[in-house]
Amino acid sequence: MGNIEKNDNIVEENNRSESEKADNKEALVKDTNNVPNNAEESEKSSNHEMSTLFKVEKRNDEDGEETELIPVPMFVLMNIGNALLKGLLWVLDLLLSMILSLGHFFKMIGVGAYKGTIGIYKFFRKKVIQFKENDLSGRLSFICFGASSFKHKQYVNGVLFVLFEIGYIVFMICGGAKNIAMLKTLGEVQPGPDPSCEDMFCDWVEGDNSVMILVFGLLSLFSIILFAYIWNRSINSGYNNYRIVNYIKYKEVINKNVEFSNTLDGQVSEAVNEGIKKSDFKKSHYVDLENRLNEHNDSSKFEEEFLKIAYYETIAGSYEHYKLLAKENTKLEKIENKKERVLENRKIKKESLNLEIGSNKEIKFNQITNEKGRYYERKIKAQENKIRELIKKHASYVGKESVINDSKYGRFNIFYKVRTEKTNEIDFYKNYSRLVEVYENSKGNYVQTNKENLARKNSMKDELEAKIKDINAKYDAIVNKKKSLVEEMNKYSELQKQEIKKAKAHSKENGQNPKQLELDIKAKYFGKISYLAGEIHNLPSDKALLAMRKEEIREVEHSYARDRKYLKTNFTELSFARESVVNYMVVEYNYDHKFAERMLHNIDIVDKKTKEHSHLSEEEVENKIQTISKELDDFVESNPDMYVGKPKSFKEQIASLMNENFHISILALPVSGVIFFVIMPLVFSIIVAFTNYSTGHIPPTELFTWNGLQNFITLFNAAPDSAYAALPSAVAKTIGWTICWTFIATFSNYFLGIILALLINKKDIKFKKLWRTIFIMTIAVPQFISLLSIGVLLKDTGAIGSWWVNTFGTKLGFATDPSNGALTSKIIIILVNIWIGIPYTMLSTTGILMNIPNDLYESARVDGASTVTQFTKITLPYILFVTGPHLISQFVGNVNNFNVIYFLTGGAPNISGSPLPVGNTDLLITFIYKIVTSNNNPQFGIASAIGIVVFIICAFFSIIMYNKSGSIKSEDQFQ
Amino acid sequence: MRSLKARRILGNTLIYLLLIVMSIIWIAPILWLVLQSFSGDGIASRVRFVPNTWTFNNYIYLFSNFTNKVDPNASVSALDGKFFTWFMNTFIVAIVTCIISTMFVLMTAYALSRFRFKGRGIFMKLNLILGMFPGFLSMIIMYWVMKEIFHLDGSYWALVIIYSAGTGMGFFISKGFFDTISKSIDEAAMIDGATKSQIFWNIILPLSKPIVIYTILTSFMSPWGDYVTSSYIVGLQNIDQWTVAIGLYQMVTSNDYVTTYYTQFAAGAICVAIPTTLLFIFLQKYYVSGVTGGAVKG
Repeated sequence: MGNIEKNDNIVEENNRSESEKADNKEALVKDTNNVPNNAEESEKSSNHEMSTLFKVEKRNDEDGEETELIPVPMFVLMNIGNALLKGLLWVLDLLLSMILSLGHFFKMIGVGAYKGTIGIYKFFRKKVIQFKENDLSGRLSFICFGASSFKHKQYVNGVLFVLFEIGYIVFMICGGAKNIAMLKTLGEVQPGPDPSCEDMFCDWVEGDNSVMILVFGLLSLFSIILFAYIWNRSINSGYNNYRIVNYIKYKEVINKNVEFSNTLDGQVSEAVNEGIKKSDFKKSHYVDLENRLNEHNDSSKFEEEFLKIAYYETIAGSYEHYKLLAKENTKLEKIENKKERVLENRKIKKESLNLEIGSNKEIKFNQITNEKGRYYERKIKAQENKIRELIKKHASYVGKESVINDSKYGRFNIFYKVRTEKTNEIDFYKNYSRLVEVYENSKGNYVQTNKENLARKNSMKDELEAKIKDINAKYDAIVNKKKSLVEEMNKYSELQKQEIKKAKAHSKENGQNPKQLELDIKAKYFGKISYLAGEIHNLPSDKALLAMRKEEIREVEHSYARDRKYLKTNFTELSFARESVVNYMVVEYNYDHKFAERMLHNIDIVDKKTKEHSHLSEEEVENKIQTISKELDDFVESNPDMYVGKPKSFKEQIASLMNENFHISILALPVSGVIFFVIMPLVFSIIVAFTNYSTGHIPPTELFTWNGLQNFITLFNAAPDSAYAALPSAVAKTIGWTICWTFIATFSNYFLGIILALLINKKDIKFKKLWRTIFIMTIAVPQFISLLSIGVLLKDTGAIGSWWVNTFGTKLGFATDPSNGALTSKIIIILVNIWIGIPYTMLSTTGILMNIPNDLYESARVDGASTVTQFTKITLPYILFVTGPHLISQFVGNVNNFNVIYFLTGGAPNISGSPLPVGNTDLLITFIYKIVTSNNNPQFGIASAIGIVVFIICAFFSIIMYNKSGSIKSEDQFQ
Repeated sequence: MRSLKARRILGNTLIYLLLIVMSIIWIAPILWLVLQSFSGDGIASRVRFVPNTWTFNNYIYLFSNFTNKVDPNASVSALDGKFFTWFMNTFIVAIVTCIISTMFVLMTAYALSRFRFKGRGIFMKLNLILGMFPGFLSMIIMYWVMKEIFHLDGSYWALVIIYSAGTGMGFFISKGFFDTISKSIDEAAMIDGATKSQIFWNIILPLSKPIVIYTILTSFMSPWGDYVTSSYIVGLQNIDQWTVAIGLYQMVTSNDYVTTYYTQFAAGAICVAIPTTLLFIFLQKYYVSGVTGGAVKG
C-alpha cells in the first residue's frame, strides 16, 4: 500500500516538474525578447562571471571536510537498519491509512445522513410549493394520478397513471398489506397434518412458507417505494404541465428571483466582511425581505414562495461560502507574508555572511533562496487557484434553485423563433427604402474599396515579413545564448582538464596524492560547470526550439492568410453593393447574418429572362408588409394562447423514447433485471442472517422466524457448553486464511503478470504471439476442468503425488496433511493460482506497457538507471496508476474466489472438531457453499452472517485501496 | 561494446529459456489431461504421466448409451450416456444467456456512456458494492423464486434467467470502449436527422466490433464453465437437467463414480474445453483488446 502512494507521488512529481520545465521555457522565450538589444550587456556579464571564477578557492580546505570510509560491517548494518526503517514506515503508513479509511467511512456515513435529511426536507418543501402554486388539475394529481395529464390531452399517459393507482390499491387490499403484516412473525400456521382432527386420515394443512412470506413481504415493501416514485412522477408531470402552460409568467418570476438572490448575496458578503454572525444577519435582514415581499403586493403567492426560497438558499449557501472564502484569503495573505519574511531574512543573512560574488557558496545560497521563493510562489499559485475555484462554484450556487433548466420549453422556443423572424421581416420591409438607398449609394464606391484593399494587402505582406524576422531574431538570440553557454562550459572543462594534467605532473615531483588533487580541482570547477550545465538544461532543446520557431511562424502566417482572404480586391459594382447592404443590416438593425443574406434577394431582384436588376416598388412593399402581418396574426391565432407552450402529446412522448429518452428504453430491462435478480436477493440474503433458517426450521415443512444477532454470536462467541463451542476458533482460522490468501494471491498475480508481460514484450524477443497463445490456454479452458485435473494430478493418488512419494519417500500431503495448518496445501494452492491467474494480468498490462512513453526510459537510461530501477520507478508506478481500479476488483474477486479452492482441495484437510464442515484451506465463500449445500445440517442463517462478514472485509480493504489509488476518482477524465 | 552485446545475447537466451520452461509448465497439465482421455487403463492411469494402453473408447462411451466396458464387473450406472444431454443443456443455456446478456451489457454501456441522467453515478458505484457480497448467497432465495414463482424447479432454464438477468452490471469494459468513440460522430449523425436509437444500432455498434465480440465471448464463457450456481439451482437429483460442470465434477469427485468414469471424465473435459479453446485462439485479438481496454478505462 505504501508503495502505491509513493509511486503515485513520483508520477505526480514527474508531471509537476515537466510542467515547470514548460513554464520555464515559456518564460525564457519571453525574456529573450529583449535579448537582441542587450546582447552586448549579456556578453559583458558573462565575461564578468568568467573572471570571478578564478577567485574560487578550494572548497574542501575551507570547510575542513574529509571523506571517511565506512567499515564494511557498519555498512551492512546500515543497510539492514535502512530496510527495517522502510518496513516500519510502510507498516505505519498502512496502519495510518486504515485509520484514515475508517475515519473516511464514518465521515461518509455522517455526510450521507446529513445530506439525506436535507434532501428529504427539500423534497417535501418542493411538494408544498408544487401544491400551492398549481391549477386545480395539478392539485388533483396529488391524489388522483394523471388528473393533469387528462386536462392537457395526454390521455394515454393519464390512463396509465390511473390504471397503476387502481391496480396498486387492489394489490394492497388483496395481499400486499397482508404480506407486510406477516413479515413480523414469518408465518404462524405450521404445515403438517391438521391438528384439530384426531382421525387417522387427516387433511394435510399447507401451512405457511417462511421463505415465500419473506420474499413477498420484501416485494410488497419495495412496491411502496415504487408507488412513491410514481406518485412523485404524477405530481411532477402536473407541475411541469402547469409551468409549460404559464411559461412567460414563470420566467419572469425566476428572473426576479435571480436578481433578488444576487443583491442578497452582495449583502451577505458585506456582512461576513464586517464579522456579523449568521443568526444576527438573519434577524436584521428578514425585515428587508418583508419589505420586498410587500413591494410585490400585487404579485401571486407563487412569487412570494420563490422569493422566500431564494432568501433561504442564498443566506444558507453564501454565508458559509463567504466565510470559507475569507478563511482562504487570510491563508493566502499568511503565505505571502511568510514568503516576504523568508526572503527578507535570507537577504540579511546573505549580507551578514559576506559571500563573495560568484563563489560556490554564493551560488548555492542563491539556489536555495530561489528554490524557497519558487516553493512559496507555487503555494501561492495553488491557493489562488483554490480561491478562484471557490468563487466559480459560488457563481453557480447563487440562485441555484431558481435557475431551472429551460430545455423543457424547447417547443416554446420554436414558437418564439417563428414570431421574431416574422416581426423582423416586417421590420425589414418598413426600412426598405433606406436599404435601397444604401445599396444604390455604395455602388459607385467599389473601385475605391478595391484599391484600398489592394494597398492593405501589400502592406500586410511587409508586416508579415517583419514579424517573421522578429521571430527569427528572437530564436536566433536564444540559440546564440545557448551556443555561448556551451562554449563557456567547454572552456571550463578544458581548463579543468589541463589543470588536472598539470597537477598530476606536479604531484609526482611533490609527492602529493594525485587523486586528492584531482578532486580538489574538480571541486573548484564544479560550481561553475554545474551552474552552466543547469542554465543550458533550462533552455529548450534544439529540436524544441526549431519546432517552436516553426509553430510560431506558421501561426502568424496563418492569421495573415486568413485576413487576406477576407480582403477582397475583385469587387464588382453589384457584389460590393450587396455586401455593403448586408453589413448595414447586420450592424444597424441587429439582424442575424443568415437572415440578412436571405432577405438580400428582395432588394436586388434579378429578372430571370432579361437579367435586369430592379427593386420592389412602394406598393409592392406595402403589400408584403400586409401579407406578412397577416401571416403573423394567423400563426399567433393558430397557437391559441399566444404566450403559452404545449405539453408533449403521447405520440411525442413515445417518439422521444427512441430519441432523447432512449436511455430509458434500453435501461428498462437490464436495470429491472439487476433490481429483481441481484439487489433484491442480496437484501434477502442479508435479512436471512437475522433469522434461524437452519436445520429444524426448513420450509416447506417447517417455519423459521427472527432471532436477532444469534447467528453472529454463534459465529464469534458461542457459549462453551453449546454444540457450536468449537466454531469461533474455526471461523477465526478461516478469516485469517482468507485475508492472507487474498493479499498473496492478488499481489503475486499482479506483479508476476507484469513481469511476464515485460518479458514477452521485450524488443528482441520473437514469437510474441505464440507465447501469448500458450499462456492464454489457461483462460480458454474452463476453470473447473483445468483446476479439477490439476487437483487430481497433485493428490497423493495422482501422478505428481505418487511421483513425489517414489522419489522423496514422503507423501506430498496435498489436501490431506493438516500439519502446520495445512501449509503444504496452501502453498500449492497459491502456486496453482499463479498458474491460472497471471495470464489475465499479462494480457491486461500488455497494452499499458506499450503506452508508456519511451522517452521516460531513454532519460532514465541516460541517467544510468538499471533495469530494476527502471521497473520500480517507471513501469510499476505507471501501471499501478492506470490499473488501480482493476486491482480493487481483483482483490474483491479473490476474496470470493470459489473455483480455485473448491476444485483443487474442496477445503480439505478438515479442521478437526468443528461442528460445521470447514477445512483448513477453505475460504469464507467455500465455507458458505458447504454450509448451505450440506445435506445433514444446512445453516442458512449462519451462512448469511458469514456473507456479511465477507462484505465487511471487502469493503474495509477496498476503501483503503480506493483512497490510495488516484485514477479511480477521475472517471470522467478519460472521456 | 562487445561485452554489452554479449550481455544482451545472454539475457535474451535466459529469457527464452525461462519462457520455454514456463510454457511447458503451462501446457503440461492440459496435455496430461489429453493423454488421460486416450488412456485404456481406467482409474489406474491416474498415477501415470503417460498411459500404458491407448484407446479411443472413452470418447465413444461418452456419447453412446453403452455401459462401461473398461471394467466388465461394473454395474450399469446412472451417468451412462448422459454426457451428450448435459452437453446440449449447457450449450442451450450458454447460447441463450450469451444473446441476452450481450444485449443487456451493450445497451447499459451505451446508455451510461452517452446519457447523463439521475441515478447514473449511483448505478456506476453499485457494481463495486454488489461485487463485495458473495453472490452465491442470493442463490438461497433464487432457488425458491425459481421453484415457487417460475415453477422451474431443478430445470436448466432457471439457470438462463439467473445467469442473464443481472448481467447489466458488467458494463464497465464496454462503457470504457464507447467512451473512446468520438462524440462528434454522434453529433454529425444527429444533424443528419438520426435518432439516438438509430445512432446506437447503425453507427456505434458497427464501430465497436472488437468489444461486441469480446462481450459475446465472455458472456458465453461464464455460463459454459459455471459450477457453483448450476450445482445449487439444478440440484443433484435431476441427472437429465445437469450441465457438463455438474456431471464432470460428479464423475471425478464422487466415490461412487470415480472408479468407472475417471478416463471418461478426461475425455468429457477435453470435449468441453475444445469449443472455448478454439473460440479463444481465433478471437484472441478481440479478447486482448477487450481486456486491455477494460483495464485502462477502469
